[in-house]
Amino acid sequence: MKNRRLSVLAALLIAAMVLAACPQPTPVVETVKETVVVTQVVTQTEEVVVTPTPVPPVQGGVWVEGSSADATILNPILASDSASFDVLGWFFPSLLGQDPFSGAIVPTEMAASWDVSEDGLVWTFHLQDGVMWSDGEQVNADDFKFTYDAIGSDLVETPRKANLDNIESIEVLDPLTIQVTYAEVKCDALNNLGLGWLPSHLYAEDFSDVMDSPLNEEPTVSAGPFIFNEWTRDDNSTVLRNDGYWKGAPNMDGWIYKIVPDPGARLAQLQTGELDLIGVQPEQLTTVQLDANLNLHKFKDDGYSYIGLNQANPANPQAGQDEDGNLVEQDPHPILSDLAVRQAIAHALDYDAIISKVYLGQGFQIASNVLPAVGWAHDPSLQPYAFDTELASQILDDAGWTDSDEDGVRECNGCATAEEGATLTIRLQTNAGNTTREDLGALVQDQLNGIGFDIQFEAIEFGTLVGELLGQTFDMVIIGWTGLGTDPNDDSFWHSKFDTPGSGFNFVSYQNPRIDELLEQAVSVPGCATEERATFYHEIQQIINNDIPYVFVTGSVGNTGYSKKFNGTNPGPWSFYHNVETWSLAQ
Amino acid sequence: MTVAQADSPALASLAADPQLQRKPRTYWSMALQSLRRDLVTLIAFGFLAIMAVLSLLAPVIAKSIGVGPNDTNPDNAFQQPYLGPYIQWRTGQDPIRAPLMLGKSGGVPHWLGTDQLGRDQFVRLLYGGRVSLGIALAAAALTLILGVTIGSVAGFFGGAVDDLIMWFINTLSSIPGIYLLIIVTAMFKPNPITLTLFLGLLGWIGTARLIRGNVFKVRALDFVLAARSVGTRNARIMFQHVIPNSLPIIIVNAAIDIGSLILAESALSFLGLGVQPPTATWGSMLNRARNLIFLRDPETGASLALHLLSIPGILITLTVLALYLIGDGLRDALDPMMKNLR
Repeated sequence: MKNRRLSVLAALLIAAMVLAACPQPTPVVETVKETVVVTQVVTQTEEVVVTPTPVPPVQGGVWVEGSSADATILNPILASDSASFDVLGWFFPSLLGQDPFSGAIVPTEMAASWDVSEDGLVWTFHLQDGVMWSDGEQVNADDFKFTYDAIGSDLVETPRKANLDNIESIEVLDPLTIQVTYAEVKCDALNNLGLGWLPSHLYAEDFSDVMDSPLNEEPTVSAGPFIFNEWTRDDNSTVLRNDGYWKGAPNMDGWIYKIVPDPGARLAQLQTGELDLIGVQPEQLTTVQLDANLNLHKFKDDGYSYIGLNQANPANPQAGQDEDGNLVEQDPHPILSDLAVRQAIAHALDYDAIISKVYLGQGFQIASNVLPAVGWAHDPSLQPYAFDTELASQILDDAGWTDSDEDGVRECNGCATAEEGATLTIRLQTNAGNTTREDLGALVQDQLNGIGFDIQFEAIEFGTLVGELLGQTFDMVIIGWTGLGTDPNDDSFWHSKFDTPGSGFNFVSYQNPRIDELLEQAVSVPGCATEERATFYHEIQQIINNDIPYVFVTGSVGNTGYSKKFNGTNPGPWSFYHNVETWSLAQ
Repeated sequence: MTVAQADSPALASLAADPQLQRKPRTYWSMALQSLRRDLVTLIAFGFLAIMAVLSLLAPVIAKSIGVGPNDTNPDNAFQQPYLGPYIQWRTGQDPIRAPLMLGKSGGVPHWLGTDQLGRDQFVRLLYGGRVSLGIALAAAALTLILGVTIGSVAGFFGGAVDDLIMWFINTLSSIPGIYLLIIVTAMFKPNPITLTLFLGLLGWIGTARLIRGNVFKVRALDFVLAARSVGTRNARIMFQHVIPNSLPIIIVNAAIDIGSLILAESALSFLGLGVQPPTATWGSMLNRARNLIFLRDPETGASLALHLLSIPGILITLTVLALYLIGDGLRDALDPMMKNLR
């Protein structure tokens, strides 16, 4: 009995060993690649040709958007969460429009045109005539001035106070002309004038009722495509068609903002038709793609993932500028300050594999710091680094990083920055718990070690990581930026004045006087014309691409699933509803 | 044997009776004998032993397969287990699929498939077993030693000693675990040894409480009173009477502990106190597979990562189940009260 059991055990063990060690018949190398596409990458946005229809568009229909969170307050200068803006965005006119595809500032809202003084400090906005509040009052310059004066008032507590920074004065020249005077030219601050306007005729002149007006809960007066109807907290908000909308009344009857906290329930309701639009989680993509009744809007978002390479010695973090604004020469990083090493890293990574396997197809390779979502500033001609391990090895060989003792790790044999004989050992860190970044770390480690690096990868608690990052005591870090917005100005990542150990976002200690100069010039173009600013940003992108302070891994992607109920939808990365008044029910 | 020397033929035949020839049974031999009859427990033991041996041999096995635990190959991510196609190939049912898979993987047989980075799941499971089982066993041993010692002392001596120990235990357990975790993360670089120490040093509290309660019960029983009345020393009462009578609880508790420690290890990865990636552990492999389970092949609609969830999941389930079964079997074998029931 005992023996038999022992022999069973032994047999199992042997079987397992044989399985592992079994000599393999010669593999057949198949050249035809099997398709193991994880998710289909829909890179191009759908082109919808809107042809003028001879028959009048079908009236009626309701569009229901699903959201995880409810609005908190329906006042454009008091709200600070995106859910509130989703709802109140329908009611309040704003000075500046935004191109739904490039994010550029365009005269599609209240400002029909504007003039800028020669020095770029005085902006004169000419307003649309004939725009009416739904109670019959005209929308005019007083509403704008009232709104911004309210923000500055001591009686109003708002997170928007910073929108007034740099503004010297706001004057109403006549009911349809506004003059804004700036202290200095700051093109990235132009968006600060884009807040929704309050209907000044419904508020006390001294701003005393802005904070507790019933309009904050029920903004019954509208100048947008829809008029407020009802708000049941944590359940839904409904808005109805504004027949007097100055761009033309929408064809649909109304719009509903429905709160469905669970992402799985949102997807299910989108499939049954209870919801018409939801944000889609990456793991839900296939379901949406396979559903014939649904469209998927996949867009390039305003964020990216990167590997930050510390240019300065992590043992000796220094500020980039002294108190007088002069550049402080940095103690260079013993390995990463060598451009050849940075080039080798950039060439050693298999970006296609990273994007399809680690990011599950939810990404696209980028060449530099300005994203395609900011179309006017992005330089599409710039080529990202190509995956080429032989080239990467060659660069390291040429730069004096060779494996002289043949242990698989390169040493410095005549390299530019490190001591003779020092190994190519670099720490790579990311935050623990983020499985995507942990996977990326494991892959980067394996791919770089394959060409002779000795990468020491660790995933640490997020707070600890941020401490090392801002303290500038790291070597290489996997992290990302999100919510970069419509303006390409990202001087806080590159300008030497933001290289301040402990707080600044230029934690890679990137220092390039030309970049400092270009970043400053790009935001101080009088008139802030996008064509003029773009030339600066193109040069910035070129230099960042050459200098490799970051290895850009992938741009982020957003996904919206929506029903085919209406014709005429044409979503852009910055706005889904920009042409909502032209939508009509599909037959 | 004295009976064998008897001259009476009747006695001689009696002596030949194997039933009468057996040796006198001690506590431990009885326990061993009842264990031998307990097939389920033996199977569980066998399973654990195989897992342990395979894990210990992980480097050898990995070498013979020709792939390390952290070797990535993104072009061959999400390969399905090679085992099935291999059997079909060898039995002549499907002569194409297995060689194709080998071609894609560069000649490496991925018996249990590959993960999202093209790493071999079988080899990672073996290496993961070293870490997961190692941490769980070591931490459970630490828990046991601390818990049994402190719990017995508190329960046996009672009074001021008990008050002091219970005060300490209550104080310690009133500090939120997450708070301790963050302090520890800030102070130490996470690695298997700190993880073992941490799990062991936090885990003994429950064991100590349990043992203390049982010791309270046992020391009031008649045989302890009898031992005391004939002047037996404290140490002897403790080791001869009290602890053996707490053994069932200790053993079952230990087996359950090891199981939950395997699971706790994976939960800690979230806080950055877990074992560092890319080092594989069963918990971290399972954890990663959780989010991948929704991935489907756009053409066939088949799940791509099912094997990444099911195989580590089954392995953890079986291991924890085996531990519980062993705990149960050992309790049956060791419990003096259960002796007469079989």
